[in-house]
This record gives sequence, C-alpha cells and structure tokens, in this order.
Amino acid sequence: MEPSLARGGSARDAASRDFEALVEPWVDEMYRLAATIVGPDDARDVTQDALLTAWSKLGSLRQRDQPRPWLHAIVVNQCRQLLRSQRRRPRWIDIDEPGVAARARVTSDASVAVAERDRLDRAFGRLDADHRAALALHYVTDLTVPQIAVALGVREGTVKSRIHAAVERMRAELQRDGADR
Amino acid sequence: MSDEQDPLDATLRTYLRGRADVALPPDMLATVAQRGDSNRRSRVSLFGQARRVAAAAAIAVVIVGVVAFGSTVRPGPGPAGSATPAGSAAPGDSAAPGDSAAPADSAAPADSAAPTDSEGVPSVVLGLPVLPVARARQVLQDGAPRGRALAIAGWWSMQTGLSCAAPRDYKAVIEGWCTATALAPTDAPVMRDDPQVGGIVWDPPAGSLVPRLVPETAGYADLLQGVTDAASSMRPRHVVVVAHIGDPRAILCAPTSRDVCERELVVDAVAWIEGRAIGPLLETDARPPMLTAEQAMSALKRDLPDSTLVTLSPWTREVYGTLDPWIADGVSGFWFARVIPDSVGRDLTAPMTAVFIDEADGTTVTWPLDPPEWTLLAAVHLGARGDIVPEATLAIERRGGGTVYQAAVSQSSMKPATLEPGSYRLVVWSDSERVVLPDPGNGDCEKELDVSAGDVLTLSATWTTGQRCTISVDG
Repeated sequence: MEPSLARGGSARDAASRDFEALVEPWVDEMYRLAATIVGPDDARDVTQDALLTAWSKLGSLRQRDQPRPWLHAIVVNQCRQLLRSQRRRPRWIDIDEPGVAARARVTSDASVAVAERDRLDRAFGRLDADHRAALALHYVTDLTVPQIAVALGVREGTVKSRIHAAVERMRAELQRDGADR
Repeated sequence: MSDEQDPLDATLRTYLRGRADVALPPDMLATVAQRGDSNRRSRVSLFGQARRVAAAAAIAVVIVGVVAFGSTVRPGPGPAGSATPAGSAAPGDSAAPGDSAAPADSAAPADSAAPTDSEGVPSVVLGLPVLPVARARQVLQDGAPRGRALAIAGWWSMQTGLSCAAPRDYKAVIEGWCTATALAPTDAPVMRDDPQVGGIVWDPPAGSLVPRLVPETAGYADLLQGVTDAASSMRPRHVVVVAHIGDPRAILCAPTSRDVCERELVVDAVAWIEGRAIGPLLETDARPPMLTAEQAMSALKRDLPDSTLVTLSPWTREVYGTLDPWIADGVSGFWFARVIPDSVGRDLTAPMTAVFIDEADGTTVTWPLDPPEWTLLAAVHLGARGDIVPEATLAIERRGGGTVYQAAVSQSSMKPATLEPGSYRLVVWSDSERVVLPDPGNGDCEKELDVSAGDVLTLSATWTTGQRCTISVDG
C-alpha cells in the first residue's frame, strides 16, 4: 500500500500525493540538515516532525514550486525546539562515522581523528541552535543567501553576520577547549 | 561568506559535511504517514525509535551510581503514622479506577502493556516518607511551605507535542510549554498498545499532579525526559521523585503568571525508578569541572555537615540564566547541589537547601542569592511576523549616555538585568545591525524608564506586523 498521509477520501488522497511529490525530492536533504544540526540520533525524529509540520502547514507555502527554503526553515525550527528541550545530553563518538573516517585517512591515526572530532563535537554542541543552523546551511547545503535567510527567518543582511558570529564562536570554543585541557 | 584562508573554514566544512553524511532511513515518508494519521485521532505519546535508542544509551552513560554524602545517604525514618506506604494508594485517593481518563475504546488488555505494579517502591527516600500522589496533592493543597521537599511515588509521563508553535507569550523556565508532564496515582495505568501509532497510548487519570521538570537543576532528568527502553515507547514510568513548590525562579515569570509559578511543583531529583534506587550525582557533558565530584562534596561536608544530598551536578555559565539571573558574570563554573539538613525534623516534607559551589575556590553560596534592591527583569516577547521567527537586540543605555546592557534576544526569551536606580533608555532593534525601527509616533522600540530601588520590572518588546514594535514595562 502506498504511504498516504490522509486516508479515507479521494480528495485527501490526492492532497497527500501532492504533498509527497512536493517534499520527496528534499527529504534526504532535510534529514542531512537535521543530522548536521542535532546529530544523527535525533535527526530521524526531527525530520519526521518537520514533515508533519509541513503537512499541517502546507497552506502557508506561498511558492509551491520552491518549497526547499520553506522546508529547511521548518527543519531549523524543529531543531531549535529539540535543542531547547535538550540543553544537554551525553555525547557519543562513533569511530565509524564518515567524518571520523575521512579525517582518519588524512591523519593516518584514528585516535587523533577521534579526538579532533570529539573536540569539534564539543565545540559545536555548545553553539546555540541558530548558530548551528547557520553553519549547517552554509557549509552543507548549496542554498543561496536569500534562501538561507528564509530558512533562518532573518533578513539577508543578517545571514553573513550570523555565519561570521557562528564561526567565531566555534573558534572561541575550540580555543577554550584547548585551554581547559 | 567566510575567509577561505582561514584554516577553520576548511575544518568546519569537512567536519559539518561529515555530520551530514548520513543515509536517509528508507521508511521516512511511510512512518510520517502513519504518524500523521494517528496524530489526528488522539492525543498520544509519540516518540520515534531513534530517540528511544538514543535515550536508552544516554541513560547508560548518565548513571554513575549512588554517592553517599555526609555521614551517609540515609533513609531516615518517617514520622509515625504519617507515611502512607507508597505502593498502595491512600484511603480517599482521588485516583480511583473510575477516575481514569483512559478512552472508552481503549479496550485492549492492559496487562499486555502495563508496567509492573508497585512492588518494591521504597517507603522512605532521603529520610522523607514517600507519599502517594493523592496524599501529596493533599499536602500541597493544605499549603506546603515553600521550598520544602516532598517525596512522591507515581506514574511519570512526559509527552512532547509533535510540533508546537512558538508561545505567544514569554515562558519562564519553570512554566510548561509544549510538553505535558504528569505524575499519576499509583494505580496501574490502563494503557493500550496501538499498532497504528507504534507505541503506547495512555492518558494521565484525573487526580494526577503536573510537575515541572527543569533539566538543568533536576538530578537525572534524562531518566524522566527520555525513554528508557526501546521496546515500550513512552509508557509511563513508576518513579519516586523529590520535588518542591515555591521555587525562587518564580520571579522569572511574567508578573501576570508569577502566582501560578509559585505553585508549580518542581522536580529536584529522581530517587527511584522501577526497582532502581537512583543516586544523587549527576554527570553531564559540560566541560570537565575544575573541581571533582569528591572535591565538591568535600566542600559541602565542610560547610553543610550532616546533610543528606539530594542532587549534585556541575554546570557552566551557559545555564546561569536559568538558575539565577543574579549570579555574577565571570564565574567560570560551579556545582549545583540540593541538600536536606539532617538536623531538622522530617515530617511529610523537609526543608531543602540549594547551594552553589564556586569552582574557583570551593566556597559554597546558598541559593537563591539575594537579589539586589534594584532590578529590571526584561522578559522580551517578540511576536512572530508571519512565519518568520524574529530576533532582536535589546540594549539598556543610561539616559546620559553609555550602554549598560546589551544582548541578543529571540522569541519569548528572558534577559534579566540589574540596574542601579536611575534613568535609562531601553532600545530594541531587529537583526544584528542597529537601525532603530521607524517610530510612527507611539514610542516604537525605544522607551525611557526611571528605575527606583526595589523595582522588579518586566519589559515586553512586541513585534506585530511589518517592522513595528512596541515596548511596554510592567511592574
């Protein structure tokens, strides 16, 4: 049976098919954005919640042919909510994670890669949701500045300063982490 | 966008793309479809498998064992006749089975999903008699003194909404938003396993308490926030929690809700959960504390001898605002502890003391700190502009010149500030560059204010539509 967000009526079936067609091209990117901001453990739930929100607020989407920034904005908001409710959480470093493996190849020393990844995780984990989202949208997606502005809910002029502030916060956290050790 | 010569730029690119290098679960849309359908039918607990697994792992990391403080973490004797065994509902318990709010159509056998009954529930924790929910309700209704600890046994559930719009009004840290918590009477809850939901459906019965969980100051909050095993979804947990009313953080609530906040039942610690006694030490992933837990407890023993430790956790300045807005800046970190002095008698409740242990020198300071006589508590409400969540900067300037406070604020955030008596100008502007928004004649986004000794004021900066905002001050 095909997945359907609304069962029991042909009109709703059609609406759900339209919705699926609208979001399906972007679900993978939504998931990866969520994983970047909140980590892989919560990415599935965040993405599911974002899709449900998108479904329930589909009427507010003005440009049906350009749902991508709108969907990203919903993901960012879901991430904000999650991070607000989980201001702290133990961390795990999975040596099999792709990022760790990539850095391990560079350094030829998995322990160094794990430590570096751990340090970056720790610093990134100290950023607030807005800074995390700014970095994720900038470094992971190929969204334009206007699209990032929509996703973050800020003016275009703020995007650059937000990313700059987030990078500087990362730098400060990494330096502080180094000083603490 | 950023300096390509900056080594950090390349590091961040590699690191973040590594975080994003994950495979989409194949059933994402199908699962959403199921949740979308189910969510329309009933109010349910819905937590995905991923979060369940993560929470289970979290608990494995967080639990570090029971740590005795002082002479011992001793279960003091309860007062004769005062402590109803927690495992059974007290006479007159309002949570009779008939009070259950379980839907009539939840006819699935409860025993297939219900947790085990209350066998093994301790009758005393931390020297406090463990009260069933109904008895605790009675104690609270009779006017339990502020800040005194109660130990309450019941079924804990915490349901978070699938999606919650940002609150229209500012919510302080001890106010509920988007999360429904309940501590239900100890009758076994009637639950049903809904295969379409993919989890357990349960509604707290009438007579349940509605505690507030502030993770930053609640020992082992993760046990209450998350799900402890992957097989049972968000089924309620049989727990004993230590909690209190009259939390000093009520002052962080808006004036209109401060009375309600004073009556909030705030969780301090999980003392027992489904057969497992929980110790008071909470480890977090905050940066490594300068003081070890042993050193922190030594400081407590030195300054508060013969006390029973309720909870102890290390914290950094990131959470200062949620603990106490008047903690001095510049403190690098501290341990937060709650203790019950052994020297005082325990009735159904016991006085509880909260202290900070300054990591710089190991000194202990009782919380709440005395607020200064001159205070401005700026609760900033930013109304949404359409679907855009606004953000802004709040600045407080002396009328004669000079900024005394400036901070970024987001929707419904709280920014406490302390001001000496005097004349000030409050300014709020959107985005990161200061362009005070156009004033159509009603003082938009700027307000002059005279602060007198003893003032506790709440500032509201509200955007409505377009780019207009207004500032009002209550107090």
